[in-house]
Formats: sequence, structure tokens, C-alpha cells
Amino acid sequence: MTRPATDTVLAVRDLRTFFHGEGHVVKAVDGVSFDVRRGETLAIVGESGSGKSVACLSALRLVPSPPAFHPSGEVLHGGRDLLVMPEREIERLRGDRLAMIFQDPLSALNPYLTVARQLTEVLEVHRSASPAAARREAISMLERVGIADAAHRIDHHPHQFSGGMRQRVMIAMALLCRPEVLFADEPTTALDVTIQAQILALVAELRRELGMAVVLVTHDLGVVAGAADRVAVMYAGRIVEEGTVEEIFARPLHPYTRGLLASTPQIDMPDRGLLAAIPGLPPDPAHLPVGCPFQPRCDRAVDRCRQASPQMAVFTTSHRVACLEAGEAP
Amino acid sequence: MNVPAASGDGGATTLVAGSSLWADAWRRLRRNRLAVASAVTILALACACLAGPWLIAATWGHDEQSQDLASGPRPPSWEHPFGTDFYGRDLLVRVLAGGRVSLTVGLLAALVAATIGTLYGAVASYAGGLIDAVMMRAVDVLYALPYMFLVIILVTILGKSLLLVFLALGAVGWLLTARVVRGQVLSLKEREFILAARSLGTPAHDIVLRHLIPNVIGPVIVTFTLSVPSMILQEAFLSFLGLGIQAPRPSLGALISDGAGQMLVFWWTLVFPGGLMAVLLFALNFLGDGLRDALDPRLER
Repeated sequence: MTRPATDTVLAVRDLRTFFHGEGHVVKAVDGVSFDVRRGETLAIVGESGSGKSVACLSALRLVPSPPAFHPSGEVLHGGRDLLVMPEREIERLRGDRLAMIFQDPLSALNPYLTVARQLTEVLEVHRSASPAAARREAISMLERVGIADAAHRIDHHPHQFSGGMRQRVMIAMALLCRPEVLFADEPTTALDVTIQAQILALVAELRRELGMAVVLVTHDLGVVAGAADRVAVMYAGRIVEEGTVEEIFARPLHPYTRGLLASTPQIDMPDRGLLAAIPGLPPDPAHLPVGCPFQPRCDRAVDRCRQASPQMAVFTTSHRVACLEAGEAP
Repeated sequence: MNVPAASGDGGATTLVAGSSLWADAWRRLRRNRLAVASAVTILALACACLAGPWLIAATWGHDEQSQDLASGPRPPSWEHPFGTDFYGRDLLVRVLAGGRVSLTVGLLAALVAATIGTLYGAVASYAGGLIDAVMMRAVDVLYALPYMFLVIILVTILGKSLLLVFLALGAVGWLLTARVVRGQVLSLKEREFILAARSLGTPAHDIVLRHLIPNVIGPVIVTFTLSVPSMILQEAFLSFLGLGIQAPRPSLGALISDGAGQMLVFWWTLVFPGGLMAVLLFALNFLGDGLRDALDPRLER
């Protein structure tokens, strides 16, 4: 395992999150390691069910256990392992140093409480702010994320906001304490395309302004190309390739990454060009194939792929891949 | 849960200024005529029960205990609008005084039950796992014991006073509320906003008190308004056994059970207390329905 670099704000090491199923174990996250560096955006890309959301929730220890358990793994922040610290201490970090925004801002906001109540609560919990001071700060944060007439709108309930505005409220709530790492779990999936761009621009702007790191979970490679510095590609609970955004897009090494890129529509595609699709379906995490989890769908699979699961191999200093055939890529 | 989206253009902007949950609920409740009529009825009856006996005593000089054996059971007349009972006591003043006792016992016992039940159910459900299992098995055990038996033991041990009657009823009556709340919280705690609150470092007690309980207040209020009538009926049963309200003092239940024994001869002794009880129960149910609708901010049409 590599030692975290000095500008690493969060280091995830060999994280495994398993769930007890009926008579079997579901390996949702199966040995994931990544670093999040100050001020960067790390995108975690993968299909539905690849374990990218669970990996993020596990890093904040938000997966209820039981039924989940961690057979191995460390999540290091400030020299301490989040997975073993007392609940009271991790509560102090969540929302303060580490925050998260969710896919659907309507269901992520409490329908019964005004936006004011939900925002000031964060400041009261972490900063012991007086109600008046918390309200002032909440209003200025709402203004910062682009909510017009924030002093008046703050007393509304979530259902009185539009989808994009709700996501702005959610972002304001997560950023109130100026966290070092913001986990964004598909923050634009539930929004219109035009709103998506606005929200991503806002997150990028706030990232620069506050110097925080962003972990962007998405299945949208367009979003990745525009917003990320580094990319980690997840498949069946593992990271199969990791590199800078240029490396991943210009020189993808893993057959799965290549398949993902080939299946993304391009504006300059020839007329009536058919989109490539990866054959087959993602594996059931309760019954993973033997060897490389991607081998049943892989057009380059050879016998040794069916025998042992490939380890991460360093390709360049920033580019790593878990594929036995990657070195001989065309 | 299906959430009607705010209607497109200006739906969000035309809404009136931000207002609290309660102000919003009040605005919606006022638009529900049946609920308003019920609330007015309950208030009017409560006022009549509170002030009536005192006014009658001041005007005609008889209270709920003054007997006049000579004017035995008489049908309603100008002098005694609800008639008189076997001992010549004015039935109007007795019904009003009985209503006062019944309403007090019903409301306070239901309030005690709702408070205990909500906290217990929410804590058990949010804690989950072993704590939940142990807490809910305790509820099952209490549920399996004969309910009245428990109340009777409590009243016998603690003594016979009005205060203790409603404490005993409330202390046993929270079981249903606890189950209702636990069921609601079980689904609520899987909702994303609870995860979001946890992701922001909200401590468990804040999640229970500030995020979960406001979301279950609707079902709790419905259970509450439905348990008021049942508390009133149980108080009547206790009084019938001689463990509740003591003999010369009236309660609605006691008056009804007296009246039921002689309804074929002296119909008015059943019809008036029974009528008041029926009106109260209807009004409480309609008001409960109205409150449930009003307290759900997503039902905005």
C-alpha cells in the first residue's frame, strides 16, 4: 500500500463493505483504495450497482451495520481511521470536515422543516452558533449558492423550491461549515440538463473558493470530462482503473473503461453511427465470477483471466490499472 | 411516496411568504369546513361543560348533586330542559358536569399516552437491532396482559382520584401509539433526508426529536383523537366498577350506564348523555381527520 501524500485529505485503503444476504455475502465494495487530495475533484465512475455510492457512504461510515460489515479497510483523515473511531467523534466530523450531497434533493431534505431550520441546525450542532448568527450565516450561504431573495426564501419548505434550487439548498447545507471533502453522489442525475451544468459550475467554483476536495460519484462520462481532475473507474465493487482525466480519456487501459468510452455518444460521430454497447450485464455482487470480475464480458479475456483476479498495476505514476492484458493494449 | 411537483410556472413564486409548519397547517385547516365546525362544536361543548354547571347553580340554585326526591324522574320541561333523574337531580347540570369530567380524563389520558408512545416508538425504531427488539417485546408483553386488569391494579395501588385515573389510563394506553410510531419511523428512517441529516453530523437525539417526530405527528394526532373517545369509554367502565369517578359526582359514562338500565321508561336519562357523547366523538374524529390533512405540507392542492 502506498503511503498517503502530504496533501492527501482522505485516504481510503483496501475498503471492503459486505452485506449479509440470505445464505450468501454480497460484496458491494471489495478492496477499494484511493486518495483524495486537497482542492482536487476525483470522479468515481461506474455502472449502477458497481459499488460507487456504497464506497462513498462507507467512507463516511453511513452504511448501517448490521447488515453491512467491513472485513478490511481504513479510511484515514487527519491521521485517524474513521471506520473505528467512536460514533460521537465521527458525528463531529460529518457535516463539518466531511460533507455529502445526494442525488435527489427533494428526498434529501426534510419535508416538514423549513430550509432555515435545516441549515441552522448544522451550525448549531458543529459551531454552537446562536440562532441569530446561524440564521445570518445560512442566509449568506444561500446567497452564495445563487438563491435570490435568500432572506425571504429561507423560511420556505423544500417543496416550495424547484429541483435545481433544492440542490443549491442541499449544497449550501453541506458547505456551511466549509468542509475539506465534499462527497457528491450523482448530484445532477435528477436535474434537467441545463440545470446540471449550472450545478456543476457552482460546485467547481465553490471548490476553488474554499479549497476543498470533491469526490464526484457519477455514471455520466460527460460530467467527468468537464469537472474532474482524476478518475477512478469502478466495476463490481473494485477500482479497475485510475488516472488523470487526460489519461483515462486519451489512453484508457482497461477493456471496461474502453467500453464505457465507446458507448458514450459523441457530437462529431458519423451519421447514423451506432453506439457501441458492452455485451452482457454487470455481475451479481452476490455471485461474482471467478478470476477477473469483467472477464465474462471482456473481448480480450484469456485463460489466466479466468483463474486469478488481477491486482492493481502501476502504469505511470498517476495511472494504475487492474488488468492482466492491459500492458499489451493496442 | 408520490410528491406532487410544484406546478410549473410561478408555482413556487406565487406561494405566500414563508410560514412555519403550524401557520401553514392552520391555514389549511381553516379551509376544511367540517373540521372547523367540529373544532367549534368541541370548543362550545367544552365551554358549556366548564361554565354550565356554575351558571345553573348561580341562576336556579341547584348543582349536579342537589336532590329533590319529590320531583322524581320527570321528562324534559322548561324548568329542567333535560328532565330529572330518579333522585330528582337536574339532568342538564349532571350531563354538563359529567362531560367536564369525561373530557378532562379523555384528553389528559390520551395526551399522556401519545407522549409516552411517540417517544418510545421513535427511539425503539431508530435505535433498531437489539434495542428495538427488547423494547417492542416489552410492548407485546404489556399488550398481551388484560388491559383493564392493569388499569385496575394501578388504580387500586395508587388510589382513587381523578388525576390517578387518567395517569393509569395513559400509562397503559400508549402501546398502540408506540406501535404506530415505530412502524412509521421504520420506513422514515430509510428515507434519504435522514441519511442526509446523518451525513451532516446530526446526533441521534436530534434526529429523533427534530427530524423523525415532526414527520410522524400526523398519524400521532389521528391516533390521539381516536384514543380520546376510547379513554372516555374506559373511564366510564372504571366508574361503573366503582374505581373511577365516585358515585354522587357524574361522568358521561356513569350517566349512560344509569340511563341504559331505565331507557324504556325514562328515555331522557339515556338520550341526553348519550347524545352529548355521540356529538363529542363525531367531532373529535372529524377534527382528527382535518388535522391529519392540514399537517401534511405535501397535500397542498
